Amino acid sequence: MTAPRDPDDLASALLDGLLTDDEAAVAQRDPVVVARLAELAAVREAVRRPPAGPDPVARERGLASALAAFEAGDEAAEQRGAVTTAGTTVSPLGRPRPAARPATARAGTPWRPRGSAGRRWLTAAAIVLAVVGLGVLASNWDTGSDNADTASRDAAAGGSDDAGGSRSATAEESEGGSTQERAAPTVAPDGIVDLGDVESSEALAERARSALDEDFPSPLGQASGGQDAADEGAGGIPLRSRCADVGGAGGLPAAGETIVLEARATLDGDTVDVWVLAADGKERVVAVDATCAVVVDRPLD
Amino acid sequence: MAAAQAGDRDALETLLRRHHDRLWALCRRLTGNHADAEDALQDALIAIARGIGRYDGRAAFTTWSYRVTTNACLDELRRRRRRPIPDAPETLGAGPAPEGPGGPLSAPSARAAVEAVADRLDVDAALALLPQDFRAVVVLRDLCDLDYAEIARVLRIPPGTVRSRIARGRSQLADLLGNPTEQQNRPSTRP
Repeated sequence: MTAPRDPDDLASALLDGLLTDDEAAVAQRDPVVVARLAELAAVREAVRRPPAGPDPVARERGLASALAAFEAGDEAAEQRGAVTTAGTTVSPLGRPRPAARPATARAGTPWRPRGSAGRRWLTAAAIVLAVVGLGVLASNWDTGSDNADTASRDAAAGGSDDAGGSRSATAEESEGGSTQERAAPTVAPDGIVDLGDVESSEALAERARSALDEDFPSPLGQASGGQDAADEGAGGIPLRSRCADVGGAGGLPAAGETIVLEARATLDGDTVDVWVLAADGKERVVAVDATCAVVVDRPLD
Repeated sequence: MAAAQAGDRDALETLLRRHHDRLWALCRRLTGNHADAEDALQDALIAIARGIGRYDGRAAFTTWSYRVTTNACLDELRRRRRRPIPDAPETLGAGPAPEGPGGPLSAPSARAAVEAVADRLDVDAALALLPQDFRAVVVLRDLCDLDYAEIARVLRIPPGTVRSRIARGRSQLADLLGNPTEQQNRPSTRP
């Protein structure tokens, strides 16, 4: 790895012991780096200081909720068994996932609702609906909804499988699962589906198809909005915002097309943004590179 | 761990209690306020409880739990993103820059200056001013003590990106704690 030249980079690398002895010796002769190192070390100590602890009541409530979820897990798993694949709840594409937090489905559990108390019963109802009415739900789904927002507090309150559940479970499986599972698409921390490393457009299309089949959440309505970047700040969701103008410049999506998946992948070593667009019963996968140039545009089988 | 995975509730409770405080610290630093940290941690604990059976030990439980918790925190941040940041920049105060008239101060005095400022100011407020991507890597590195590879796995970003974000995040944090006014007014010259 090339040694960093910027004093901040050098000081940070020195702090973490990333430099070779020779590089460290050179860096430590630079008073600017040494001064910065002291500052960064002080910052680290400040970050490391334990923050004030949680409210004891909240602590016990959180633990109790987790244990209730644990106890309810088998029961909930059985309920979800008919509609789960590799730990990911299957629901209509792009639709906010049915609330399925087990703790909320059990009367008297200490889960702290963020919304109305009756939402727990809506959660339980949603589970049942997900099992027996999947097709009905799919046919009734309005793809034009801004689900990034509607899946926010309500989804989290009712049962944030979407938040801490399925996404985390996906991460778990990615890290701890089989090789096949780890090669499958996952949801990155910034909420975008990560199709992983692929070597060809064919493989990319396969991964996209797999993500669609697995019904990974797709932030519909945000593909070209760039709203996330604005909200998240300069370091927000760079890939989503980077090609925000592709829709205008490159016709993505074209007239009549619906974005059914937004993702990213590493195609032959290069990070690409990926969209699956659907129109008239046909789907195509489109990928753009770092310059927002279209590098893949092919039908999706 | 094995008992918890086998369905032993008491074992899971022991495990969760053992790790609770460090997960709380992660949530508190990442979300920047008590209420969001409580919500995120509750989500994380539930996710851990539900996912413990699928944890196969390839990664350390600590790393795995950090991953789940970080995801919960980022989700919480995403949900609250249209709400104002709880600590406005002005609450950082106007601490003196740790730099003397003749150039950088010597290391001990610079460190003392920054520490003095950090003592007065809320580190969380300064962290809240960092871009989320920078905040996450700095907290995972400096609070959770994850190495770069672990952070890369947790956040699903390349290790090189981890390194650059840590350096830039720390640098911005040092500037914020040292001289927030200058930091706010200084245009970024970096990509």
